[in-house]
Amino acid sequence: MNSEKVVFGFFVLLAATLNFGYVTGDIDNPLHHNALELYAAVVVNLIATVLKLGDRTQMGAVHLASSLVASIQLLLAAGSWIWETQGLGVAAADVAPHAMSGVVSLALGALLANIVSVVLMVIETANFRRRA
Amino acid sequence: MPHRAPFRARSPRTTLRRVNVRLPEASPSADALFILMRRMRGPLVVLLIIFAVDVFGLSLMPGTDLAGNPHRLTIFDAFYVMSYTATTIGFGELPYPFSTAQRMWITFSIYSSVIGWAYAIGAMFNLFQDRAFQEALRQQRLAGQVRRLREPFLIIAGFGQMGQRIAETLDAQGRRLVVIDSDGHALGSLEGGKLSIDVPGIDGDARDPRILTLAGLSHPFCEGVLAMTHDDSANLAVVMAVQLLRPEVPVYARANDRTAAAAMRDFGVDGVINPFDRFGEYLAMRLQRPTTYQLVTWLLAPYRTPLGARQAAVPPGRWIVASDDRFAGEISEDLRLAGSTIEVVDSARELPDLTGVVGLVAGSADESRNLALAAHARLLNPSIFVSVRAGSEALQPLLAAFAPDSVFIPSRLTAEEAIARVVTPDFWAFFLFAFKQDEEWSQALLERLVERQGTGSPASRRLTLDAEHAPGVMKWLTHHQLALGDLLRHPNDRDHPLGLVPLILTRHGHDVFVPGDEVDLQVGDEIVVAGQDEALDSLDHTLFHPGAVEYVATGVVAPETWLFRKLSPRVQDV
Repeated sequence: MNSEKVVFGFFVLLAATLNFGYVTGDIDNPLHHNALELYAAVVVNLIATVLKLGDRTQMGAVHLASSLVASIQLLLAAGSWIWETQGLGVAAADVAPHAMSGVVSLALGALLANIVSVVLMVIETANFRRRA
Repeated sequence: MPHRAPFRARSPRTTLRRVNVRLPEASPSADALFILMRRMRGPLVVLLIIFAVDVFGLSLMPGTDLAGNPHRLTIFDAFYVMSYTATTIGFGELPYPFSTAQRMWITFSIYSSVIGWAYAIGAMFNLFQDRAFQEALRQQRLAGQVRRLREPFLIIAGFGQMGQRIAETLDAQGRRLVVIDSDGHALGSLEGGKLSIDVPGIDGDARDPRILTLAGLSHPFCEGVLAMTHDDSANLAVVMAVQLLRPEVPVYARANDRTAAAAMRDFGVDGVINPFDRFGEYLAMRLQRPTTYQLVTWLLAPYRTPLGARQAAVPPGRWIVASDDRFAGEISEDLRLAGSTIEVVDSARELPDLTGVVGLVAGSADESRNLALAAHARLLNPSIFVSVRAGSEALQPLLAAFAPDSVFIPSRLTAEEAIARVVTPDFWAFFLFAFKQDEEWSQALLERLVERQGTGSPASRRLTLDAEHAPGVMKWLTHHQLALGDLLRHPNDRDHPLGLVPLILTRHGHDVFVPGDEVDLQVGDEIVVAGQDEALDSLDHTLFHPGAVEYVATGVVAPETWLFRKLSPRVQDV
């Protein structure tokens, strides 16, 4: 067992699961989306991006690209969330439906990139088995 | 002005090259950015985690607003506070004064984030100090420098005494160079700023094709390679690499040994310079044909070297060669062909009796010993011809004072011959021709050169009479004749010839050496002329301006501008 692979797999999966957890629920209902989970998703996605730096393979390049996409989308989601709540001085539970769906749809986009990451990881693992 | 890449056939096959191979990449591990990213992964992850925990913890700590109601920082507020706290900017307690619990957490955060920052910054500085990383950075910078070259350039492998001499001369002529040497100290002199143009110096073994690639062997503007290291096998390796990987690029090499030279010729080297071998030929020529010798050494000398004094011929006779290495064999062979009898003695011993001896070659590897031998010989027999071999230029002042009849400095001879081959390859063809000529021919050419362009050694240039290089002449030649002598008249005053002497006229692939003034020029002719730079510039004027061509050809001052040319019936067709 390679501990580096464990850490890598852990963060890639956790990024996807946290992201998924955040976006589930009605897209325009602020009560269905936990801001702390969004925060955790941002942090874990950033860590996953850093872990993918410096890999020269083609696979590594696509990994990095998908992580960058996910991180940027999540940061935009977090930014718009901060704006909708603190910037406009609205309580979290009272965020307007159109604003909430804007935040969640950004996070949904990130989820797609995270799924690509997970699929890539599975492909990589399967190939590794075959070679060994 | 951007130069066009010189046209060359792409990767021809030769007898030795059966398969066309792509040139090897220059060291794939040398990407500094990847090293940076890979090494910074750990520190960045640690920093991110510490920061995330600090922000999250701060948002959990209970606090109150100004009215005393319970209030917690949002994630964004916590992030904002941590950002200015961790970077020691410290705006204070926002948005409300902190509770004790919040202050305790901030205290913890400050210390933990300092550890994270210290680790990350420390790792980064460590990386910058890392030899491998610095090497990667340097290689990348050099590769970039070479890649961005947009003028023809030469690669010089070996930056010893010879390489430096060649580099200085070529640099003075404005040629671009890339230098390879395995000795970092030798390359250090590049940074001394002796050369006027920035020369990329690559620290590496020229035997490695990847190093040659790094130096630009695969670059479309690479116009030649000079293998000038001290090591014959390294020079051979360079020749082989160039001929097998990029056969269309000319390669010139130095060889100290006949077997190495033969191996290089097998690989189709464009020129081998064996200084020991060459010096024998020069010495024999000096003895038998002093005028030819005077001419060729002058032509070979750096630009504007004054013409040396004519020396008297030396009849064949008994010669003594004092040496301790292969030099004795090489030089004896040439002197014997010139009709002398040779006695080879060990340079470590006393000289034999010198009565009746015509000349002495002091040819040991030790230059001080050579000077001592020559001095001793001159004391015993003041009229003896002495030839001294010197390993370097260090004894130059002493040699100048002693003034032996001939001096052999292998590195200088090699450098001069290499430069002559590289500067104008056509000129080298002429040089080989002149090398074989007799005294009368040399005398005539020497007088013509001195009369036309003075006693400073000439530069040479090749002119091609085509639409690109000589549009003025092309126009004239469509309707009229133009003699070579007329072309070389001064465009301001045609009664005076330009200070130029034509050396070669190439027509349909045939060379005519030293063509006469009466030769009529044809479209497509190539002419190599020798002369001073100013005269060459004036000639450019004639080549490009139809009016100047008409003037030198006929003496009529033709209108230069379009309107007046149209108005003047005489020059309708020009």
